[in-house]
Amino acid sequence: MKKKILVLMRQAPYGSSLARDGLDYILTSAAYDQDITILFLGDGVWQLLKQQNGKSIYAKTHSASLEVLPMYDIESLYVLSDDLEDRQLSLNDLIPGVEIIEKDEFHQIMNTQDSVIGF
Amino acid sequence: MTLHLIQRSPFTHQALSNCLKTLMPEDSILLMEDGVYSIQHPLLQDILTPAAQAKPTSIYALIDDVNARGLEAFNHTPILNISMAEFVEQCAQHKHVISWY
Amino acid sequence: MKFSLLVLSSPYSRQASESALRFAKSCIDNGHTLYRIFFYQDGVQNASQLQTPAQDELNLHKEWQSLAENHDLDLVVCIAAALKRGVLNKEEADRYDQAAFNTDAPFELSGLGQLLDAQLQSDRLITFA
Repeated sequence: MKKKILVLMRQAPYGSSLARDGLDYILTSAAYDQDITILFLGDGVWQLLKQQNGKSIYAKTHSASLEVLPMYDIESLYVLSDDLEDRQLSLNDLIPGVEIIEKDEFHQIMNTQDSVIGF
Repeated sequence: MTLHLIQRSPFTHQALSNCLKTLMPEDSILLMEDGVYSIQHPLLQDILTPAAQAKPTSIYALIDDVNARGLEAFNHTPILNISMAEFVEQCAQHKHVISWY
Repeated sequence: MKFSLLVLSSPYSRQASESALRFAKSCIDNGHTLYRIFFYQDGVQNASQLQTPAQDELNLHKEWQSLAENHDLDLVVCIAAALKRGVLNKEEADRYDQAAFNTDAPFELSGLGQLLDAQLQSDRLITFA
């Protein structure tokens, strides 16, 4: 059974395990050939920052893990423009492959999903 | 058509604020656990005013969580107090259910 | 309607487990089907049979156990999340040469594929965090 699944990633990495555990779920779903869209929302956009290095805090580097997503055919990575603006970020600060959308575009994406899960 | 479950207090967490950023006109909001403190927060009160842009269809509060916290007297229309059984039925009636925490 | 529940928080630290338990009971009372209850993140602590709350407090392990036995529920614990937090059944304790184990049926340790399966097979997946 193949479904369109939207995953909301809403937490910053490292401080809690939600970002990591959400990613594990995404990779599992991709391995079972599901059609995955990811929206990085609120503090979730911090997951996408370039030049992370978790080594000195005994953590796997989260951005490096996110960069494998295209290999799993996950290419729909979105952020809301307001969330970037609130955090004084621009697309240049993020890993490649992320698309900025507005709220009404999010609504269009949402309307096409079979199922939604949030981390 | 989504039912949004607010599970954290808006005075310490962004759960309600993030939810409102994505709210669609046919969506509803359900306040539960510490999310019921939203009753006293301007973010929620603002979407109840006639001028509000993004308005949910309905706002519910889980009555057991409201009463346990001594908030019964603070809750007011149009926020509807509902039981756990009604919560289950609201989940059944909405296409998506998203928890915010 | 077919429901599955996802429990992410540790019992006793947050209200999520109690809320999930009450939701599960209400689902059954309302005549719905509970396809699976999946425990992930700190929610895996619900499966520890060693939890020993004071006598006037709810024992969540026992509550889940009796609900599962009375209604033939599928309680699945994320194996990776459980092992690293010290929640092991006898089989895993033997495999990793650990001296003790603290979970058993009706809780079953399995992979995240079981959460995906719950999301695919159920009409609704409700998260308690």
